[in-house]
Amino acid sequence: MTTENALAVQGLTKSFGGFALRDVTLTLPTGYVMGFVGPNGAGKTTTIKCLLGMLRIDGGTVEVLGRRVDAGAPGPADDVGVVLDRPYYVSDWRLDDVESALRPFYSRWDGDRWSSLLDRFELDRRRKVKDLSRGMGMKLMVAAALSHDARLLVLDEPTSGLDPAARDELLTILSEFLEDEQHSVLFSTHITTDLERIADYVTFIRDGAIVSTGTKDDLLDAYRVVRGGPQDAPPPGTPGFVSTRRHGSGFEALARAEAVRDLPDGVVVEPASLDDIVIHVGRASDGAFDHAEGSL
Amino acid sequence: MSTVAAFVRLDALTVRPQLRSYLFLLGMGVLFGLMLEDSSSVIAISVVYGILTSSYAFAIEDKDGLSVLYGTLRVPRDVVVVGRYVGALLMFVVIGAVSTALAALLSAFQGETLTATEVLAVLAVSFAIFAFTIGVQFPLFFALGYTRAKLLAYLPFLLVFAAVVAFTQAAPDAQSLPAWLEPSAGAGAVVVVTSLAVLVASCLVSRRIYGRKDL
Repeated sequence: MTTENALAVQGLTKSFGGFALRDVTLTLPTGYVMGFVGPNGAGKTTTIKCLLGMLRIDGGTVEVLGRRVDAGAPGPADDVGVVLDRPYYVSDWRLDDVESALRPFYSRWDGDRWSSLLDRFELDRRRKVKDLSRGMGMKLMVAAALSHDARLLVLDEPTSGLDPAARDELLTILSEFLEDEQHSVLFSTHITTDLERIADYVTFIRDGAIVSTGTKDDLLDAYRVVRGGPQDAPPPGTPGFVSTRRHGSGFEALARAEAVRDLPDGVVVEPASLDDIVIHVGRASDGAFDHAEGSL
Repeated sequence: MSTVAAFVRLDALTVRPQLRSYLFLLGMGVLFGLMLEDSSSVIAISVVYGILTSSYAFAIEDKDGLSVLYGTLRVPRDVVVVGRYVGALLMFVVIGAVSTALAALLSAFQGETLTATEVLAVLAVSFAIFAFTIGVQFPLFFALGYTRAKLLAYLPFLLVFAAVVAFTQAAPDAQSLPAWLEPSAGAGAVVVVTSLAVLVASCLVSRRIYGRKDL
């Protein structure tokens, strides 16, 4: 079944353990990668749990691959693969046990594909889950997700704790997965360099609310990093300046692109990276960013 | 394979790495039977061990975060609950069958007589204790998770123990419950049906609790 959107979340609200998601709205068109970024505790995992039907939502709608998600209700398991920061299987299982456990739940489970993926990832099927390194654990979850022909991969901090080589390998695997234009990825992370490489869309979340959501290129085009001497630092509240960090030899700020046109000579204006944006947004006071979809 | 059957199988795979400890406990049951020179006690002791270990799926679920696995597999909450009870019942059947066979072997070895009615009476009483204990424990586990509920989960054991002590104190010359049930098939059937009703009621409570829970 082809759907226009892999994910469509509209006005999602959820209060959970002293934390609240507030009016979360995001859309991931089919065939694309969305980076889902925000500081720790921003609401990324809570949002993902709502997508997976693990949390009962208080309001709004959640659609995954065109189907409304209803917590605890049956749904098609095949279409969505989930990769977390650590395996969610029984730690005493051997990798063969993982296949035995998962296979009955997936109508499209492909044992040959599972075997070939384990071989490719050099995962020994006699090893226990608890004996896998972080990188191997991540590969195990990816192997499981790709063995049931998932159309949407949901990744929640899959690269945290991984060395650069393992991170690079995951991104290569994802690139291969995305060769099929019906495949989509939601990639939650705080390591934004991963997203620079593969994300088409980026959604920022902070304090349970979406700060911005849109294409990565629009986001990068919308902001600039500004550096200068102490005398050039913008006064607090300068329109278009998201946050300013002052230090002994000057300042560094993140500003909207339209706000840096008439700056004094000597001030350096550079393109912003996702990392710059995440850091500055994390520091910015509430209200410095627009809280609306498509506000970039 | 139905979803409930698949989930029961998943639970069986979940606790399978602990199979050695079950075998050890069954061996302990035989040892007690030998020491007590009462082969039918193997059945009762094995069932008590079965109750103790039936909570293991909850313990591993807590330890390894298996609720995420159930979420990704899109296992409906109802199926998780019903599957746990079905799995516990199947475990009782298996333990009952294996321990009955062991009790028969032991009685032959010890040269004592073990009648079918005696075995059925012991199984009926064991099932009642099993159903009461599981019936109290499982809703607690579904509500609080194993780690937070495990102390409370000893409550039914304490109640059963207290009931036995009180009964023994009040009527020191009375027959044991299995001996009382032995000549009456009707009484045995009432015990079994009542126990099943307790399990069904407990399952309904668990479904209500788990269905509303955020995982």
